[in-house]
Amino acid sequence: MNKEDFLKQLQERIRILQPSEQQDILEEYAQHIQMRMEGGLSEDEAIRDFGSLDDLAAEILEAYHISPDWQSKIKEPIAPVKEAAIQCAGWLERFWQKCRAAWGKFRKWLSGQWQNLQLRLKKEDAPEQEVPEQPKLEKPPKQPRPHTFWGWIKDMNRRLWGMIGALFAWAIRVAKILCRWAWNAALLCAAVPVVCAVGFFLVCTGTLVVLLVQGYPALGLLLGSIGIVVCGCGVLVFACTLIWKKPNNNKEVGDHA
Amino acid sequence: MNAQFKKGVLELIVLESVRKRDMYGYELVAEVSKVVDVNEGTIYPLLKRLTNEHYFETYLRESSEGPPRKYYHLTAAGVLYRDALEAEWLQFSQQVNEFLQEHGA
Repeated sequence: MNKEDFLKQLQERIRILQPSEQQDILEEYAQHIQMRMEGGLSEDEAIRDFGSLDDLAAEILEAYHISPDWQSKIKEPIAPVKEAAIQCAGWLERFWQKCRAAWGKFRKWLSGQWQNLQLRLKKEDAPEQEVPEQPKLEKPPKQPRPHTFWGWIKDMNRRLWGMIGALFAWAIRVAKILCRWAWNAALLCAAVPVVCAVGFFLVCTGTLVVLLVQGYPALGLLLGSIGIVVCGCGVLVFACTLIWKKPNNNKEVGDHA
Repeated sequence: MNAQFKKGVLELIVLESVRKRDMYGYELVAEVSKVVDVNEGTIYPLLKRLTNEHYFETYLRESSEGPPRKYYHLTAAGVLYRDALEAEWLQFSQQVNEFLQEHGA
């Protein structure tokens, strides 16, 4: 331990004294160490001769009739709470930044997957869409269709399948929209009670913090309620990722195509 | 030497050291250390306590080397207290000596 550390730690232990007294004592010890060092001792040796810092501080405090464990007897609930809050804030900020980075990555990945899916769907759709066009092109040569019954059947067959395909595509589209609405509505219904619970427990947390500062033994309850709030928020954020958004990135797909 | 012995006698030695001439902290510590082997750190709190109880007065005096030094001066109350302590000590040590001698004989 060097002189600075020694004096700092000693001051920490006697900070209950008047600043002028603290100064007086620290100067005395600083001078003593200085003189011991001039006498040929190392800084460390000179300080080690004082023995235990706690015992030393206890003896100094005894001269003022102050109990050596005064620190434990003074209630300073604000200081630790403040310290913890500052630490928590720093931690939360870091956590938030990490979350944002992770969320950005996840979104990128998700949108990439979605575009892939769209491209694949488009590719699959494309031949189907071309099918109804083909008969149109073939219409002029279809003039001789009444001549051959077989040709007419073939034509009808093609048309029928084209219609069925279109209908099927429409049905899928409508079903998709319906599913989306139903899904989002269900999510909303599920989210409402969670939001209510989070709100309620936020109020609880505030109340418990006030009770704790006043000295009630509410730490367990407070931690519990903070846990519930955090869980609720987590669930809500997760639910947000589950919202089925309207796929309006056709343009992007077109650009990619 | 027994720590409890030291603690009781230390006050007397410190008061006696300053009686002849005023001393500053380090000088006093060195003087006391000649008589009893004691943790140097513990003498300062003792000086502080005796000062708080008005047995010592302190004043600063410039020194040729380093910062000004705080000198301790024994007050009238300090002299009386020292005399009382000395009397107590003599009586006590005499009693203990007599007891030991009686038993030894």
